[in-house]
Amino acid sequence: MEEGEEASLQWLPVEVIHHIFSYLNPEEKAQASILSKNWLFAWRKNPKLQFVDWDFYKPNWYPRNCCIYKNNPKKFRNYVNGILRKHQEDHIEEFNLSMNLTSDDLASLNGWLRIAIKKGVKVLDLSLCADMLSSPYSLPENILLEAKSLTELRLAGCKFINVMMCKNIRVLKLFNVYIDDETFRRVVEGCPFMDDLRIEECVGLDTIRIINLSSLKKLFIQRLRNIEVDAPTLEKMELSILRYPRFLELHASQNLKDLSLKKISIMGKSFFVDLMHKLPNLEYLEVKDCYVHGERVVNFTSHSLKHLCLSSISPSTKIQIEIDAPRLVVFQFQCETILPNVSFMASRSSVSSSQMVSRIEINHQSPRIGAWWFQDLNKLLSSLIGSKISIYITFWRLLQSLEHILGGSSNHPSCVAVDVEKLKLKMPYSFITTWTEDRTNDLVDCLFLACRPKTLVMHRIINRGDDFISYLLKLLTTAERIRNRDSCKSPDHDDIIKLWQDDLKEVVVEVKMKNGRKWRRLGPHDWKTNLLDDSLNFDEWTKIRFGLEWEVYSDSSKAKNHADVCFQA
Amino acid sequence: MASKGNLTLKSCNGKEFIVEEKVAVMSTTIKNMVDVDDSFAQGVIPIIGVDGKILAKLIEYCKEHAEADEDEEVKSEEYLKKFDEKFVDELNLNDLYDLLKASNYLEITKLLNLLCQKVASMIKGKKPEEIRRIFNIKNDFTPEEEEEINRQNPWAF
Repeated sequence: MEEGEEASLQWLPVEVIHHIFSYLNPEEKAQASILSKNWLFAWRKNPKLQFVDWDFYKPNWYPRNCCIYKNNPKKFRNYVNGILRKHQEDHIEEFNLSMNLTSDDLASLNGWLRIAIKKGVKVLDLSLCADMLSSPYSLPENILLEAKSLTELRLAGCKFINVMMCKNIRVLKLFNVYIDDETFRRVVEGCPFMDDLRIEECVGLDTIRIINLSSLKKLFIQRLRNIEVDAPTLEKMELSILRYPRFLELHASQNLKDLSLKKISIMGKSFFVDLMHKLPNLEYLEVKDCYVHGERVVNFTSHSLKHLCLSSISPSTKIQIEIDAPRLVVFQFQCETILPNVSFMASRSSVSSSQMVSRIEINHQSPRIGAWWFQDLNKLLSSLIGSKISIYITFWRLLQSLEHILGGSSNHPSCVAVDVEKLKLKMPYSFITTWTEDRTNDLVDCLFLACRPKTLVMHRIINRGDDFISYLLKLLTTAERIRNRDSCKSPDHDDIIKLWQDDLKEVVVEVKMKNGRKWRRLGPHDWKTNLLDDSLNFDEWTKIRFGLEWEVYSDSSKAKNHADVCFQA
Repeated sequence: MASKGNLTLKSCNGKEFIVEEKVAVMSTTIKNMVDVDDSFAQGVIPIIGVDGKILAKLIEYCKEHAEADEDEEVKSEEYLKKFDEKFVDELNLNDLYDLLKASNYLEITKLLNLLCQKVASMIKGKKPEEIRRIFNIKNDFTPEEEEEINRQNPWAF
């Protein structure tokens, strides 16, 4: 702004005024549009029209603060009609309409669509609710034929049967739309330039083929039985909710970089092997809630894969995951109680492994837990050595006491605790209500037998969670063991405890305050008294973080000896 | 000269700012410049029509909202909300106007949304006369035009 000129919003750029309008309801827009010539000009030139009938709902208050919002369909209709009549711009770029239909609206609705199409609408977005009608609104079969400039069509809550398509559509998004296989086939045939196709929560589809779409880049398909995809230009694809498909045929694609498979029954021994073979440039693969039938070994071999994210792929049986992906930089794994065996093939180059990030998330659901579980965890982590490991564990149920956990320990193979960057523990309320000091000892002993985290993070837990955390704090920061020694029964048990306590060189304790961004470090005087002492004014903290520095062994033999001692007793 | 990962932004009155790339590319305009032409990433990026004071404000905002690095703790939504509130509350009309224009030109979508919401919230529940006073907008309609608008206004309820 020039010197001496008075500050004013008179001459805001027209597109900024349009942006401001998008946050106003019709009444407020009316007030703002008559401020000055520039604002009125902006309003009448607004190429993006948005009509939401909810703006016209008025609250009706009943006794006991009960409120029911009442629709005013007539007022809404008059409003839309008025705006369309007054609209000065020759073309409408975007037409958004979101409304609850009444039977009186049907004729007007078709009329509005024709106006928008006549004015060359590019983006048409209809979000309809037909709860008050006996059947959903059907888009007229020939209405889109005239829409030469329409490039993006988004429909929700209507019927889309036998509709003739205009061939310039590049983006088609259907949500909760009734559409059948035949109409879908014609959509695919009739829109050769389609670039983004999304079918979400739709009804009526069973078997579809995505073929001959030579510009298709993004595809999202959900809820059908059989699908064939042959689109070599495709870059990103998500398929979800395909239960027991008779065929799920994905053809080779050089361009596909990003693939998500969710809630799909995967059959066939070599599904993933074939898949990776067909997609030689795949970089991101997510497999979530896909039950892998009858497979004990799942293999991922790819020279392009950078990010592999596996989530609940075999909740009830133990599987072996083999990964041969030299470029992998992120490995994410989420599972429940049963941990998989993971093995990386030798071809993983040393360069990538030093950059690799592993993120393991475990939702431990089962009440059964023992040393075997922590040894499985140790084994899983051992296979990831060399990468930056973070683990997130949620224990939903109570742990049994350590006596049970370490029962028959001499049968267990020895393990060396794996260095990990971060361990985040989550204890739901159900877990924490019955905590005891013994159980906390057990948990910490077992965890540090499996891994040595550089940081241990916990959220504050309501109710008795504070007791748990302050005990944990004492356990980690007090040099001598505070546990009641009499409760230890076996000598090997003592050794385990000694093992991690001897190795723990330094502990830094930090808390994060509500609304705070930075961690606040606590000095020894803070934690030696009670962290939860009101006088310390710590009642506002939400997270606690322990920075743990461990003894580093130059070769693993010493650590291993330690472990051998404790398991061989 | 900025070190690796940093960019130098220069305001229209010659003030230079060295910022991390992740902060600068909050602006889609700058991101496109850096993506298309490598020389921008090494040299100085001129920010046309934005003075040093406004550019400093933009950077202050972008710093807070830039994506957290691997090792940084992710900022809580609550914290950012507080920051945003404070940020827009402290603006005078002059800054508001300049920032609206600058964030529109530089395509800093988050900030543009925030500022437009702020303006919208100042419009809500007020009569045109009040809005004109707050934003210092002159009513430039002739009395005849105004009468015509009021008569025809299909949006008046």
